[in-house]
Amino acid sequence: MTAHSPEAAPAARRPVGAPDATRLVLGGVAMEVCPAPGLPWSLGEEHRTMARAFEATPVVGSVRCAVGRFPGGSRGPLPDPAAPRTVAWRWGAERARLSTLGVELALRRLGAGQYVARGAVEPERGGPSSLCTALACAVVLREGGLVLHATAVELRGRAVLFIGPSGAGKTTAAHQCRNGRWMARDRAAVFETGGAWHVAGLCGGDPIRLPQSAAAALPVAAVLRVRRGDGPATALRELHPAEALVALRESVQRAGDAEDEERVLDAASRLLASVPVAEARTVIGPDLEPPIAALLEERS
Amino acid sequence: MSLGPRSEIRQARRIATRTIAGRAVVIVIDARKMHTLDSVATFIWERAEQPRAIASIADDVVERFEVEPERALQDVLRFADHLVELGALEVENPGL
Repeated sequence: MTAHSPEAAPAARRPVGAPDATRLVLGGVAMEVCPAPGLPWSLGEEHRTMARAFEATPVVGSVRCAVGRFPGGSRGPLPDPAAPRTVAWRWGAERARLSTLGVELALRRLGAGQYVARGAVEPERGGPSSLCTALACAVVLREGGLVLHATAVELRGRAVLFIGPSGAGKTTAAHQCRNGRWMARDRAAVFETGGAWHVAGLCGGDPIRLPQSAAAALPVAAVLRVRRGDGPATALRELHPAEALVALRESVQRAGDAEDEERVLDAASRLLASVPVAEARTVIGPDLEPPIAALLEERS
Repeated sequence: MSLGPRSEIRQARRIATRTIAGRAVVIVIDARKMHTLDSVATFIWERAEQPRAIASIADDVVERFEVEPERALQDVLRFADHLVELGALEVENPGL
């Protein structure tokens, strides 16, 4: 056991469910986090924006987490807050260890959608926020969902996802849903629950000049792979399922080894069997809602 | 590597693949590359799930697509060469 292992944290033996627990829903995961006495615990502004009430539904899973401070305090100088953060973990026998900037966690799956965790954070490095994001991503993926590089917009009670590499125009596409409400600005959790695929926002991304959706998660109406168009109007073309699979895989935030890839391909295959995945060649200006509505009508 | 009709090929072990609506998507794990195959290439790809001689796969192509045997063999050789280069296929036995 290393000095920084979660089991070594003072909070590891503290019972969860204490009155001072932080309860929230983030990325479709309900969390009850119980910080150790005296541990500075506050989420960053963006996480407060994205979090929903603990009772919000639907969710794909729930986690109870006891958390303390890293033994020995902060490790080294604080990094650039704008630097990308990665989360690393490996599942084995329904247990995983998660590690990311300012966070180490031991996560255990008790059953479908039910988890407990023990962890240690460095509050000075944004540990509380990173911990919540790491828990959300790990649970969503373990429950057969996806974490996508995407913007998401609520339209008529359902969610439209815009995927594509940086610079493809995801944010622009979101802006062009003039009656929409944004759900995710750069990263979205996508998961199956209650017989339908849902979207929940995660943190990150540039501001979107639309009102924010109040929903914790909404059913997925469509996934649009955005490309910049050069024609007179936005054009949508439903993708061949193999093209759709490639588009979804390209937008996955984490995959790497064979096991990860198999899980991602399984999830993406199930998602595209349920919802239309189309290419949107967008031009700046026109409202995107009419072509999206036409796509959905055609599909139904 | 130069392949011949007797060369045995098989899908690489470090890949993830799905065939969906008649087209295969192949991810080569170590190269971190993803490839989409057309319908003919998918047909050949699926026959390499277990070690198979290229000539044997070409026979299947002749039967399925009604093409000349020599053309089928050349197509399979070219496809196999390319996918071996990409790391999606392995040469089980050079057979040369």
